[in-house]
Amino acid sequence: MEQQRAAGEAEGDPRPPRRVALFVAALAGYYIVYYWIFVGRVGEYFADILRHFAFVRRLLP
Amino acid sequence: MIAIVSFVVLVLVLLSFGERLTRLAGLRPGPLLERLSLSWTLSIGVVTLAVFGLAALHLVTRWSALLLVGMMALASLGPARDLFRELRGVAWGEILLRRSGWDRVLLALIGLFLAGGLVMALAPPTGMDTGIYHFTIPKVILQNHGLVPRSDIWIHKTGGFYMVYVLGMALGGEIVAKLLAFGMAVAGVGLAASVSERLRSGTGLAAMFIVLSTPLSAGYLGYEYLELPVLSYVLAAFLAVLRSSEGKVWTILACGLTGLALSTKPSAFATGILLPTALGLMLLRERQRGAVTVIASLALFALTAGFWSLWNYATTGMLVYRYPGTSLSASDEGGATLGPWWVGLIRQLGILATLGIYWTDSAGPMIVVGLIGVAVFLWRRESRIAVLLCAASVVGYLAVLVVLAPDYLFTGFGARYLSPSIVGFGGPAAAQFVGWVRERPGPLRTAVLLALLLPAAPLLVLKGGKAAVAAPAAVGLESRSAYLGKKVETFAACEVLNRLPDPNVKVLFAGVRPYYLDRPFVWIPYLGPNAFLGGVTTREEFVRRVREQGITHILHEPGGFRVAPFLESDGLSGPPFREIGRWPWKYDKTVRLYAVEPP
Repeated sequence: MEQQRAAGEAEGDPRPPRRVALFVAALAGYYIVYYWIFVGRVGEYFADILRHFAFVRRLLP
Repeated sequence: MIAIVSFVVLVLVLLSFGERLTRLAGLRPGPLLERLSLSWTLSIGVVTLAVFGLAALHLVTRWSALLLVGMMALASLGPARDLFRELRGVAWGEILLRRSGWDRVLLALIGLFLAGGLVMALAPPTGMDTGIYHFTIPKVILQNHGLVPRSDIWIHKTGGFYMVYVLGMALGGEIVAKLLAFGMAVAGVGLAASVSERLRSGTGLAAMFIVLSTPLSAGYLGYEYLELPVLSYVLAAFLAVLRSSEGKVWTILACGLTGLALSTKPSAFATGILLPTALGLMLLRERQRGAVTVIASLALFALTAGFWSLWNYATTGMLVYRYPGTSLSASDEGGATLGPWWVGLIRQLGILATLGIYWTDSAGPMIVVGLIGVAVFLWRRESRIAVLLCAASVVGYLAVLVVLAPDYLFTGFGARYLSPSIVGFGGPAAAQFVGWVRERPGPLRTAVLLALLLPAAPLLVLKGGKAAVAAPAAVGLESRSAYLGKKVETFAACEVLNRLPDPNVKVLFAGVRPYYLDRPFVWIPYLGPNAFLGGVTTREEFVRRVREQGITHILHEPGGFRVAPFLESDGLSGPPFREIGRWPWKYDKTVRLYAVEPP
């Protein structure tokens, strides 16, 4: 694998600026979508916890 | 304290025994972390099979568990000495402190994730599925000294890792069982580093961090779910595949470990891709000379994947026993079709790339970035095996759903089933990409390293919050009773039943989590129809069934999707049922406890 990599390095930098720019832009877009959904899921999780707190509160004298 | 001492002894025995196994198999030792992680995983595999044998013979007791561990310890005295000597010789200061700033950041974050998981592992179990079946079934096995066929609890659903829980519970109680699950997850993290180092040198630390900073790991570390044991087996089998050119034993081992992954959680069937991969790579190298290895590999796979199914067949006549409501799909039971399969396919791909129905049902964004990164920048330069395995497992999983359960493509529920494959194959691939990017300054490096670190922030906050709530119970400042009383709505009612002086108490448990009940019980599951009420159409028949089964008490928890009309309406009001306790539940509803008056 090391040999394979060394051979690869010799082929030159595989990072043409356009490919890098596209990749970084796609990465940013994907993270925005991902965390948009993630925040929603965590919100649902906390809503459930708050409902649970209501249960705990009613346990108190 | 007994639990911690028992666990430390078990760690030493399991690591030494695994070392003995690798020596017996003639495996060339790898780096220390790889050896320790693999040794642990192999020992856990042996424990699974050995305890299952004891359970099938109804010989599970504390004494037989002690005898098993004692025999493992005796068999591994030599390796234990060598291992101890080697661990003393490790330059821990150098490993932990003399590192670059970047590595120190990763080490610190890895430490925080592991510390949060350890605190959770030391606290009494509260996981939803733990109370439903992951701990209920081992407890029932222990109470009956072995496997007992039952139609009410899901004991015929294959759960190989339950045997490890049985051992832990037999030796030191539920906390030892939890710590064993934590140990298995830590072994998985070590295996991720080992696999990654073999794909690209110097990427082990990044792989550990990537695996720990997935919602799957951060969510379940310290809990008793089955995804992380499956992940550890997947990574161990992947490691064996990567080392298979060193000898045919590695191929046999890869197949055996794949079987253990499948017998831990059959819904993680996509991990089965490792079987043809291991055999195919071996046959490409060995051609006809590999025939014996193929037979040995398949035999070991059949044993490790199928032992639970054999018991199912012996007791029910079915290799795969399906409980109502627990099938993979509604469509194969006559449910409505939710749309064309290709729409479901696109939807499911979106779910897999983001999140399922819970925040834990995700492999995290960095793995997707890493997989695409390897494909875009490194395809012709580095090993592609991790990316190909990940792609094959996703394609295999989706193909099975398209053919057998197309409606399941529309749900986010099953995302967790594929996560061990995505994290197990995608984690090392992402580390490969990060390792390559790190060596090249520029905007790509900045973006990727930010994308690597970002997922840790919200997950550490979530894990830290959970650990903070659990910490007083974990260190003994809060009692089990006080902690669980706040966490589990039916716990107080279970405690009342557990303390009743009558030795003949038998409970009809119409609730979600029967684990906390120490008395014999019949469970009315929270979803679907159930065996207890089968054929019952009137209240009189219900009362007769209750008496026939010797039920003395009924615990009723609202909610769920069960089909139990007599319990949901006023079936429990009036003689012979007498309400003896009532506790608050969510939505202003109550958990109720009834005594069944004698005729």
